[in-house]
Amino acid sequence: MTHWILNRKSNEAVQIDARNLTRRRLREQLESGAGQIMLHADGAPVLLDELFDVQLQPSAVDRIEVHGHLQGVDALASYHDQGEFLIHGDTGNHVAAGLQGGRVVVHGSVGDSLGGPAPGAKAGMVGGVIQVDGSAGDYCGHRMRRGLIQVNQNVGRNLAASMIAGTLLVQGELDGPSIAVGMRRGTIVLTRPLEALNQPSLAQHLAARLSTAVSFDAGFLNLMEFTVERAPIERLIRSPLRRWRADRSVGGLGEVIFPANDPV
Amino acid sequence: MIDHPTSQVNEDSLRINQVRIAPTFAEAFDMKATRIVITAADPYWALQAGQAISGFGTSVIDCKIEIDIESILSPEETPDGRPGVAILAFAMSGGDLEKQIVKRAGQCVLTCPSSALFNGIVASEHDDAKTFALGKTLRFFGDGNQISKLTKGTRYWRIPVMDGEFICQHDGARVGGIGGGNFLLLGSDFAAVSAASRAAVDAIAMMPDVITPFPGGVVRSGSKVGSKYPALIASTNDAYCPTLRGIVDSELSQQDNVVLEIVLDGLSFDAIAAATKAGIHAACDLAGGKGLNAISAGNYGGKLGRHHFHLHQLLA
Repeated sequence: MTHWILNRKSNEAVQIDARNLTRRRLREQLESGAGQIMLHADGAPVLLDELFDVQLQPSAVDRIEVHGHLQGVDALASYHDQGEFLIHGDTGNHVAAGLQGGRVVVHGSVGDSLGGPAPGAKAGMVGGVIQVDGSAGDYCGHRMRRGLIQVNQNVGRNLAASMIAGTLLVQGELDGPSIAVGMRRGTIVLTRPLEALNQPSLAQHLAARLSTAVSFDAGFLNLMEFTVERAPIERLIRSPLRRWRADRSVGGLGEVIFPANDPV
Repeated sequence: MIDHPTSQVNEDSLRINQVRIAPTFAEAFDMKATRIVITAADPYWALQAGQAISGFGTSVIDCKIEIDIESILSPEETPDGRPGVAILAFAMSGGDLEKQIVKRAGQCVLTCPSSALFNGIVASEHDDAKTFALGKTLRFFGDGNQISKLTKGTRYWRIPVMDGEFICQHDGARVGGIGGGNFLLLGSDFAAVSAASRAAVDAIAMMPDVITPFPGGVVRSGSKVGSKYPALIASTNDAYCPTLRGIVDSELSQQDNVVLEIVLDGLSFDAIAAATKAGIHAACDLAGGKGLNAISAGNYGGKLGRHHFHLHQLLA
C-alpha cells in the first residue's frame, strides 16, 4: 500500500479540476508506469506534477494526502474507492463527487455539491464516508445514494436535494426552507434545532413538503459509526427528538431527525 | 476458584465427594449452531423476548431446534448499548436452523416491546461460518416503510412497529456446533437429585458457548433411539427408569430411585467438556453423600455421534 503526499506548488489563483486525481490512477501510474495524470487548470490540460509535488511512502492502507492552497481546486477525492483521502485546508466544489468507498476527510471547509455527482454526471456518492471539519456549501449530499456525510459546521442551501439514500449528519446551522427538496429516502440528522421552525411563514413553507414532525426515538443512532466528535451525538440521542418525512411532494420517504424545539 | 474434593483416578472407582462416576461416555452429534443477541429498553423485556424465542425448543426430536438463553448481557456487551440476552440455537441442518430462527424471531422478538435483534456470531472467527437471512426476511413486515442502514460494514433494518422501530441486523451467521452432550444424575430421592441437577445447571449457566435447553436445564424423560411403535423415533430410556427395574435390562442399582439428565449443546467440544466438568463437580459438591449416588452418561455405543465425552477423562 502507498501513501501519496501531494503539495500544491503555488498559490496561483487558477481553477483546477482535479477529478482525475484518483487512487486508482495513482496506483496504475505507480504499478504500470502509466503516463502522468492530467488535470485541468482554467480549462487547459496540465500534468499533475506541474501543479503538485508528489511524494510516496509505504503505508498500511492506500492513502492520498493533499496540502497547500486548495481553494480553487474542485472535485478532489472524486470517485475515491478505498483507503483514505485527506485534504488539508479549505477546498472547492464537488469534493468526493461520486464517492464509491473508503474515507474522505477534509480538515477545512468545502464548496458546493459535497458527495454529489461529478460535473456532468447524474449519480451522487454510492458509498464511503466523508468527514468535513468545517462547513459545506450548497447542495451537500445532492443525489447521494449510499454512504455517510458528516459536516461538523454549517451547510448551505438545498441540503440533501434529490437524495436517494444514505445518511447525512450536520452539526451546525443550515438553510431551513430548502432542506430535503426532492428527497426520496435516506436520513438527515441535525444536532441543532431548526431555527426555521420558529418562523411561522417558513414552517408553513416546509409543511408543503414535509410530514408533520413527530416525536421519535432514534435508537438506531447507537449503531451508527460517526467519525466526528461523539459527544453532540450522544446528547442528541438522549434528548427529545422530532422527525419529518420528506419530500412528501414527490412521495419521498426520507427522514429528517432533529432536536425538539417545541412547539412543532 | 472453588476447591473440589479430590478425585480418585482409579478407572473403576472414580468418585467425587462419594459420588461414583461411571466409566462411560456421552455421545454427541454434529449440529448447526447460531447465536443471536436480543436487546431491549430494559432487562425485563430483553428476558421476555429471550424466553419467548426459546420456548418449545428443548429437543430436535420434535421441536426441530434446541434453543436457550446462553447469558444475560450488560449494556456494555450489546451492539446498541442496551441490556440484552444472548441466545444459542442448534439444529440438525442449516436449513432447519435458519427456518426456525426466522420464524421464531418474527413471532417472539419482533413482537416484544422495545426489542432489537442482532447476529451474535463473529463470522471472521469461524472458518465454517455461513450467513443467513435475518432482517433480510423480517424487513418485509415493514410493508415498504422499512429503512436500511449500513454502518461499519453491517446492514441493519429499521422496521416501523407500534412502539417505534424494530431494529434487526440484515444477516445472522451459523457455524458448526455439537449437540447431545449429557450426563445423568442417579440418586436415592427426588429432592437430592433435583438439588444436584439445579446446582449443575447453575454452574453450567456461567460457562460460555453452551446451553442446557430442557426445562430448567434438566430432562427427566431421557430417551433411547426407536420404539416398539414404528411411528416413534425415540422412546423412554427404560434402562434408567427406576420403575422398570426387574423387568428390563436396568442400569440402576437398588439405591437409585431417581434419575435426571442434563443435556448440553455447545459451539465446540471444549466448551461442552468444560461445562460438563463444571456441572458434575457442582452437583457432587452439593449432594455427594446426601442422596446423589452416581453420575453416568448416555451413548449409543459410539456408533451414532463422533464426539465422545469420557467422564473419567474429563474429571480425573
